[in-house]
Amino acid sequence: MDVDLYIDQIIQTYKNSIRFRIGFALLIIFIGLLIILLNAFNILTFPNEMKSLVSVSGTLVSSVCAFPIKEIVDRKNRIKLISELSEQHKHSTGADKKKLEELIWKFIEKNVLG
Amino acid sequence: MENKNEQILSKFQNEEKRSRKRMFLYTSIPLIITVVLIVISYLSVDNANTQVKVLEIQKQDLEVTIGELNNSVILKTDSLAEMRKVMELAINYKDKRHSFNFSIDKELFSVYPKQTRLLSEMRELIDDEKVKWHLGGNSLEKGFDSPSFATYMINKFAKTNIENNERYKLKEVLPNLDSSPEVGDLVFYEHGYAMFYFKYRGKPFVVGMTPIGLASLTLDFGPKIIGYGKVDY
Repeated sequence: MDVDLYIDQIIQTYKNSIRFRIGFALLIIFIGLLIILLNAFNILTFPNEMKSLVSVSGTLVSSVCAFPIKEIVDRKNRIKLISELSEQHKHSTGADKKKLEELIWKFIEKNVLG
Repeated sequence: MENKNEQILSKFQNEEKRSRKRMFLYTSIPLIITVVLIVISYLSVDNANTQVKVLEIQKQDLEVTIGELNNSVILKTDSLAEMRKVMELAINYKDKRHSFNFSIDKELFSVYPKQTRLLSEMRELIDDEKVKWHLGGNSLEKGFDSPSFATYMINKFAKTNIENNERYKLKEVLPNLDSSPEVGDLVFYEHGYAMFYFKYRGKPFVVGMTPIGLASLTLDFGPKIIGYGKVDY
């Protein structure tokens, strides 16, 4: 298979992961904000002494979205890098093209596989 | 080469799946910790609030008890003060004694026969010294206080009948006299004395139970007179 096809598959897989992580991050943020709002409007029946603690907990829950966001940023950077290499590979010829192809696979092995 | 590339691609896709699972795990740890902390805090606060409510109820009970004890102390203080006055008066009685003998009976009997019998009985009891002062007592064996002795003698010699539970309400039970009691009527004094009224040759005297025992005393033996009660013979 042409290396470009592999690269396309890799990029597509990354994009799916990014979409999934965006959804997950939004869900976490939504849950955290919901806790804060329900607490602020006294819909949650916690004792008065716990109100500020519940608000802080809502904030903490929302802040957990940093983890999937970090992975989104990571994957976007990898997509950018692989796309760059692929572009270079497309416009090169002969020995350069072969070297670039090896470089791409090495990059994939090292960065993509973790 | 192609196989190797396929393997690499396959590994990559599996790695992405694993990284998804890791993401769930790493994000769930702080969430679980948060939930656990919230639950623990809620249980602690709830427990503390329950204890506060219990302590508030105990506090109210204690306040009620303190109020009752205060009232009790006030009553006992009043009672002690009263007893002190009574004892002070008792010490002064010796100057107010009125002696009488059988000659009174002879003169009174024709006009007041029942009252005279009452007086004779009381004289015998005074001479025998068998009847003692006893606060709350209402029998010859136990002793009497002043109203109890008056009630006992009224029930024995008079037509008027006083119930045992009314003996401390003699002033309300007996018909009131504004003044000028007759022989055999009761004279009510401060501090609860109820003494039988007699008059011999123009000189009034009273007989009844006092803290120093059965005694015959002058009308103004000490405490203030607060009223008279009519006894029907």
